[in-house]
Amino acid sequence: MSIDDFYDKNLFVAYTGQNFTIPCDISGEHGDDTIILILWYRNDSVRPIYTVDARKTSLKEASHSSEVADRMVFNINYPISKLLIKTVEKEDEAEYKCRIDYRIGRTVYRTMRLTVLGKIKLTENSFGWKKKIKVGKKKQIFFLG
Amino acid sequence: MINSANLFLLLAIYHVIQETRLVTSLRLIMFDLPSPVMRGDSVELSCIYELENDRLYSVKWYKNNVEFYRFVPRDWPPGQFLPHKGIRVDLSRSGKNSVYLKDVDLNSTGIYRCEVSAEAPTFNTAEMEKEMKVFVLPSEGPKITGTKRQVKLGDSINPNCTSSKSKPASTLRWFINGNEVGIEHQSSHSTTLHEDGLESSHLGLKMIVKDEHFKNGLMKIKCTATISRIYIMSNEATIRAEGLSHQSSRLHLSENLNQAVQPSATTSCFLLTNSLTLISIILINLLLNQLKT
Repeated sequence: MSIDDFYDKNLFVAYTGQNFTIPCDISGEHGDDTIILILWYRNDSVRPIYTVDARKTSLKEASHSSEVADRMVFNINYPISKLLIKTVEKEDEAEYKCRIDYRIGRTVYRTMRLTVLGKIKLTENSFGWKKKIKVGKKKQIFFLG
Repeated sequence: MINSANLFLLLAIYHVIQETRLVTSLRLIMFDLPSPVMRGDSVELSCIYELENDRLYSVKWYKNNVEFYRFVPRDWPPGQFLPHKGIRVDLSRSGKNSVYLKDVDLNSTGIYRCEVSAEAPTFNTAEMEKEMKVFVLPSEGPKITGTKRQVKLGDSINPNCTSSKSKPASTLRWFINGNEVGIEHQSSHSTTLHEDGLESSHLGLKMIVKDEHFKNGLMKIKCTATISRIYIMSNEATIRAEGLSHQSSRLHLSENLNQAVQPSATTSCFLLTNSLTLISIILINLLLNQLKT
């Protein structure tokens, strides 16, 4: 991965042990449309990892369900909602797809790629601060501002 | 005789079957669309799935990631069209397993995706995608311009071949007396994009006339226009040799003085073009029949 990829708006980097939020823009093509369903998929999983079913209620009162509910919480805010992953693990590295079904408008998909790096260690040297990140057996060094 | 051990075994098998049934979920079996199709065609896109233990929530259709049709049994009406450029859905013929597109045009070209989702609580989702290409075949054969009526050995000839508008652009090839001309004699290869989205190809031929290019004092140059494996058409021009030390060439030369070469050349190429038109129509029909089945 080149350093330029970090600037892509759909690419995110988390460090193991951190809590991390993945954003999802839930605004559709019509401003006054109603969201009836939000589904989060991971990689090419058939079953969503997180579901918000608002077909019979309002989005605020809709029930959330997830098989990984102990590790993930979805906070719905307009227009940017956030999926919180607690204590990120290397296994959380994946492509996350957020699907929003509307009453009238077209279904929207947002795709976010999450990369998980090792734990951060900060050390000081004569040049200032540097960050040491363990990625498996390799060590990458990033200089801070 | 059923003893307790057998009963236990039967129960175990039953349990395994139930478990297997529980884990099987919605899956896509087939997603099919015809490609390439011709502009103006009506096409059916089909999406076959097995719900297993799930109930259907939605079947959604996307073109280039933009939803244009959905079938949601609990909605009214269940089948809904979402306006999209280049897509006209025949709602009366579309439903849970297919979508019927009327009168496709060049804007209908793209990647189509069928996405099936199960009802709560699983919302299992499976999808497949395929590309559909829309072609427009040329209305007539390629045209040869810039030919000379007669040439001398050592002269250079530089005719051009231009194909009639199509999508995609035709691939042009030159032949001299039936032999394909090498790339070293091809020149000024280009494609023109027209306002209506169609393209025409141009290919020049550049060579010094040699003795070997003539058969009985005649050099037949042919240009063929092809589009993948479904279309071929050609045109041919005849060039006469001047001053070839060949009996027949002198005869042709004298004939040539009395009549214009162009009409005779055109007649022969029309004959050829017509027979090739027939071949290409047969080929297209064969292809369309294959696509329909």
